[in-house]
Amino acid sequence: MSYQNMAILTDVTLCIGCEQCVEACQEANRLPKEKPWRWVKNITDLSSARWTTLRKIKAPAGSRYVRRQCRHCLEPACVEACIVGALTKTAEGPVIYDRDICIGCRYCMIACPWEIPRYSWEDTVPYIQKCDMCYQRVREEQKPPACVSACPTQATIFGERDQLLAEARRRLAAQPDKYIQKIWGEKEVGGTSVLYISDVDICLCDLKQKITDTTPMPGRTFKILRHMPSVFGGMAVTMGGIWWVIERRQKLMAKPKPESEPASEPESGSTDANSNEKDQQS
Amino acid sequence: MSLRGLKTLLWFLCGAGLTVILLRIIHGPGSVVALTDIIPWGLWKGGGVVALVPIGGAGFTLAAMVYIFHWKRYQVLARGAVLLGLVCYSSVAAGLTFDIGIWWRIVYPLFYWQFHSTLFEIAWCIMLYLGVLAVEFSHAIVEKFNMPRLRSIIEKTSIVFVIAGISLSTLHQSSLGTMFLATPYRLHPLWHTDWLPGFFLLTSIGLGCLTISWLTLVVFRLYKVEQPMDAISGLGRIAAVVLGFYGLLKFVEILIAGEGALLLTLDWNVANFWFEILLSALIPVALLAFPRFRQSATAMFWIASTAIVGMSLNRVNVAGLATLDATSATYFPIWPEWAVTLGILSFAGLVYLFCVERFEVFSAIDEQAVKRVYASEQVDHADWKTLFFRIPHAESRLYSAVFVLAMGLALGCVPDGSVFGEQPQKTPVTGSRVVEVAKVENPQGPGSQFMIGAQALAEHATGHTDVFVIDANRQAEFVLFDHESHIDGLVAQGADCSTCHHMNKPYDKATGCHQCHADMYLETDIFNHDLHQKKLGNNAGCAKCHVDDSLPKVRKNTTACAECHPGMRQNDAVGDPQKRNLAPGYMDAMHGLCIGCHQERKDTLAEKNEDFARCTQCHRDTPGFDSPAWNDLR
Repeated sequence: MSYQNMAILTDVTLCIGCEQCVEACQEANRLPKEKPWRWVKNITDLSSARWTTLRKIKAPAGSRYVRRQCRHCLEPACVEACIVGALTKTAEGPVIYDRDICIGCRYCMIACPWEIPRYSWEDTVPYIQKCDMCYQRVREEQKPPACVSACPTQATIFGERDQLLAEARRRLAAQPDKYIQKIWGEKEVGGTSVLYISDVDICLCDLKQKITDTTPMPGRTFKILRHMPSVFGGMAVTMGGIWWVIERRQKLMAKPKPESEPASEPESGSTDANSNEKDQQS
Repeated sequence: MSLRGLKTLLWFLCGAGLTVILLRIIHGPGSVVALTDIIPWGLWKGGGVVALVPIGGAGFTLAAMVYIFHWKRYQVLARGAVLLGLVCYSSVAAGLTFDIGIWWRIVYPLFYWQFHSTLFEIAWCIMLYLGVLAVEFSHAIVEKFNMPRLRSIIEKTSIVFVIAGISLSTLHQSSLGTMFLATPYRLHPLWHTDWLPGFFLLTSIGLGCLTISWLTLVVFRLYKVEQPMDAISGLGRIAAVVLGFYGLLKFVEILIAGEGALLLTLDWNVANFWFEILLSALIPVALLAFPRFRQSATAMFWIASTAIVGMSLNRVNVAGLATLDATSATYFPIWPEWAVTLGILSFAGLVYLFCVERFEVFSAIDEQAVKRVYASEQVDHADWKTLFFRIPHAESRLYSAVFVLAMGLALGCVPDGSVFGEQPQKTPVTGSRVVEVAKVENPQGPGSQFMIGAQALAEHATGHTDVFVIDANRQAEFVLFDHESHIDGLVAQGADCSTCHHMNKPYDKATGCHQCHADMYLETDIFNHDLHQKKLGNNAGCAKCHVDDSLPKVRKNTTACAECHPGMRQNDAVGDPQKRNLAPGYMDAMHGLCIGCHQERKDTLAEKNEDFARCTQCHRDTPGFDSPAWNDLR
């Protein structure tokens, strides 16, 4: 069975906050026990030992639990940022991490608009820690991600992104009064593979500014970066040209004088002259 | 400051830095930095890389002026600028090596290519440019060691390297700005703009002129040689034009982006912006406009210092300081971070002075000048320093002593976490509070509800009871625990207090739960060595537990608790029975004791309740501590 562009849809209205997804995730990925490290402000927040977590939102209608995890963007900022290509967006859907080549520059943590990647600061050899949508488990054991399998209320489901979008739309249409008519993750930053529907406004990012922009993140740097070869070439040609013109002009001006250097090599004029001057000084 | 004094200080900083670097290698970066998952880049990236690269921009700026444009006026500074570039970029490389999580993988960008990454481009440019700078500076070295053939090869090809160096610099100076285009949601709009790469390149040129001026003024003064004010004032003029142009563009950009009104608001970020732009551009440009200041060594020193501080602040702002607001996080580098950055810079300074003394970096500072300055600071043979650090090599002995002293001092002063590895932070747990509530039937299902607040108590006249308010992790999310009805329930089942209070029954040897489960999340050692010692007859009793004298007195060679206390904690509901002396964290203790029972009873309850073992059964939607209902009860 082959998987293509898989996604996770979380229906916030169905989540009862039992945290079985969190436990299943920790077990499946063999994560250590969460501890109150200096950099863990809130132990129930995402951390190197917690790749997915529930965040309680107090709404007038009662509490809601929003599951936080890697959004597996369709065009991920982290993949674009990674200096060695340790992060990859797979055709199957998840953004996976290759810990064997990561150098630990942490640019992915800076670049991620959702503030998802965590770092195992406690380790002598630390790595980036984030959800990989149970890539191995899905591919080799043909099972849905651990969090999805564990969910007792099917609040979070796994499937092809198009089908999940259709399912989400079906639910929104079936109960238009209940749901906010929006699928979180459908379009933001070019779309994500982790989708949410909800009956209250959910905040999925930690930053003050809410992300509504649909432009994918990668283009923001690459639109400038892609000009770099021509900038390099252009700069080299310009500088070479200026050097050549000035050099030639100075040589021509120096020619009529009889005491100019006899038969000096054509290219090395300036530096030779400089070093000669210095020799004379010392 | 005397040359000897300066070198002593630099060696001191090197020593402190080396200690922290060694600790960082042993325990990983987390143990010596104040960084968090939300602020993963700090002083080492912002200060040691992003701010240091434009300071090294003097190299390509002066190379272009002297070797491409043939402005002979600046010839005297060209080699000094190339050396400045070389030591700056080496510092950047060293700083980056220890900043990244896995330091030996610093070379991986050579093998794993990712053309879309800005950082990849910067890494390659910096690596290549380091090579270019080394070749450019090798002139001075081959001159010194008199290698005519090598010298002629280097000189003939030098223009190729100069041009390559300028092109590489254009790329990575601007790309440092491109890097932060990826953070539109973090970086404050006054700094975040698509013009950032251009600004970074432009300012690196302007700043380059001023950094080499500053360095020349300092070095020439240290070696007591007359400062080349002609070249320096010329550079001052160029810097004024470039930085003036930058200042103008910066405001034009802000106005075009429609953020003009932002400039007048009262805000920490805006104040920071004005402070930065004043220091980095406006004040230096205004002062450099006066030829009188440009001609004066003192004035140029202070102008250049201002611009260097201002422009470094600019880079630090873009790399982190101006992102704090959006992330609602705080970060200030702790001193080990400063020690590494300053230590690397100090070593760079020492290398610079070494090269100035040994090679012809500045033609005015020749062997005679160096000898003269050391002669003028002649060691007094009767001085205590000379007696202590005996001649010959008194100077080297002094520096070595200071270096070792700094290493030791640093080791003594770093936080415990840096020396022994970072430890989890303890969450204090205090005893439960008790509050009076009204217990009413749950209209939606089985069980009952607790109503708090004076109004609720008045409305429900009957069924008042006292419950524990358990908020052990201090997050204002708490559990109301009805102790009374648990007693009743257990007695009805024929059980007693020990079902929950395994080790300590009330009035037996009463201790609060939190005295053993002292931390919310961490295990606590409850073994009382002093008490055992006293009861077993002090030294005579050691052998009762530490049976084998030949083995070290550690836990694994010691008699297990259960051998003497077979009845201890019979009910192993919580934790690993192998670790009987470790009390689990408060949360695990409570969950371990409660959830098991609840799971068993969910099917046997009189009223069957599927949710009985679910978290929400206890962690209900109680109003937070900020709710006014609590005011009446406190």
